[in-house]
Amino acid sequence: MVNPTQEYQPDPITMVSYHRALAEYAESLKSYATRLLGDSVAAEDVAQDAFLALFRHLNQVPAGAFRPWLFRVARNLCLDQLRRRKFKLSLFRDLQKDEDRPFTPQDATNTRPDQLAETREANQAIESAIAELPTKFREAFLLCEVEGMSYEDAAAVMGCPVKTVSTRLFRARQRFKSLVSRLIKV
Amino acid sequence: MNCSIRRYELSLCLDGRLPSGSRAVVMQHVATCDGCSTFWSELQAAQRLTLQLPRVRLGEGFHEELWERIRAGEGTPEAVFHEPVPVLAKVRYALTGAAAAAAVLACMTWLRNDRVPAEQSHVAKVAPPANDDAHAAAINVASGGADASGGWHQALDPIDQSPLIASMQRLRFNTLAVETAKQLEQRYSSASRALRRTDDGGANGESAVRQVFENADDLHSFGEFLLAMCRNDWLFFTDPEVGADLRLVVDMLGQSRLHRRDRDTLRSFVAPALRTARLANVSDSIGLKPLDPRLEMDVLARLNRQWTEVFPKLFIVFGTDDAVCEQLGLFRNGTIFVMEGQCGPSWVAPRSEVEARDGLLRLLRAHARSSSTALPGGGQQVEVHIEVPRDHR
Repeated sequence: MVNPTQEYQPDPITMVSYHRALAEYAESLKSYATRLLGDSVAAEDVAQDAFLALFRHLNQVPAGAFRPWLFRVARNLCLDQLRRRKFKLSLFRDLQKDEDRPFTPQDATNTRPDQLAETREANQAIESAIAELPTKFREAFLLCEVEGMSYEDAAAVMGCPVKTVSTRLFRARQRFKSLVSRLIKV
Repeated sequence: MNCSIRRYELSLCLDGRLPSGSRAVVMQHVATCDGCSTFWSELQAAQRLTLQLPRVRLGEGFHEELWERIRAGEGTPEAVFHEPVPVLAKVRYALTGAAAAAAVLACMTWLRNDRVPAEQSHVAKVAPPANDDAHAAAINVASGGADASGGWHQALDPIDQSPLIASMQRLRFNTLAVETAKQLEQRYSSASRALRRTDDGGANGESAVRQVFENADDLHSFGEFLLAMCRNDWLFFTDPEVGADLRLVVDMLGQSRLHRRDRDTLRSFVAPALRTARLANVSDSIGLKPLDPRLEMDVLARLNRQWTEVFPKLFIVFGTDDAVCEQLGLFRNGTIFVMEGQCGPSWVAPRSEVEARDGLLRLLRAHARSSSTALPGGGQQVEVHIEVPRDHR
């Protein structure tokens, strides 16, 4: 762990931007990390580490670049964990456990047990389809399709050209469409 | 129209990344192509499925724990800046490194190969085109001294000895001839000086007579040696009168050796022989004829065997003791050569070069001890052992 001893006190305007980023991006960051790691607990640590790193580097990162910067840091942390723990083969395994299943608004509204089970099954199929995508395609898919990030920001996160992002996203969409074809109701 | 391109454009269209003009063209294609129409519909449906995915919610203590870590002064995790390196990039780095290492290795090899001929340039000379006229091709070596080979030698095979010996220059025929001529001149001068002192009375006169005979003997030996080279067509005199005088002197001194070593013999044979002044410049009047390098080595070896009494008077033999030669500084001034003898290669230095350094000569005389060994062919090999104190450099 890097131990910066210097005491950095951000100015109030920067702190407002930081709080806004925390409110807007914390959940999506955890969601992105969860789908990369397949571990919601580890994903929350990754999200927290990313915001901690952002706080330590507030004087270096412009407010407009908070989002791609956070996702880039989260990506680095996730890939580092995957590399060290060799999690690649166990991606999304824990998501199938009931205790890790995220709370969804549909759970509250769909009171009928058959509808609730149908929704859970559909969500699991979608998560599995995302998990089956190759890593490069999955990154592009999660950032652009799930998180709604622009191609430029996704390119900054992935460290590749914008054209590469659009190509990977197209390939990911093609594969995802095939994997969830039974759920698609045209 | 290529449907693959249109489907890629439909993906862009889904994200609003397609210009309006292109979008109209793509939508017109979708309206007429069943396959692309189905693809477009499925693409939109798949996106809707994705959008209905539930968001992952943060844990209850997320914010509190984060602010606690910030207040505690916890630093940034190192992995934050660990950029994953793609495999292709790693391969590229490895290839680049290997190419750089290979380039460095090639340069070093090239430089090493380039240095060897430069270091051996004193002995490795390229032979000129063959010429029937031996005199025209012959080079006057006298003016250049030991290194004035005139460019007619070829590179020789390295000697299979220590790296130092292998890297040094071999004794060449031109060095032998020039050294013989120089020693002859030196003996001629010494004999002439001693001859002028023979009229002194007492012991000085007798000592001078002995010196005249001693130098005359060496003069005779060196003269015979040069004439033998001339008879074998390895050497010639650029000034014919010098050659004629030398033959006369050798003949007269040869006769003096048949008689008693007294003043009568001195007056009858030695003094007339020393009257010719041309012998003072023999080294300026000899030329060498081209020799095949392999033949040259044979010639040197044969001369060494046949003229065993002459070679020790021409060269100081240091054996194979690198340390002595190094201490005497002979490697530095380039006056040391490698000579192939019956007992293998050894260091030799021309006496004229060594004697030119009075201090070195005194040092050698003070620390040298010689021993002779009978050779199977009837001759003798004289070995001179020198132990030089370390403080002499």
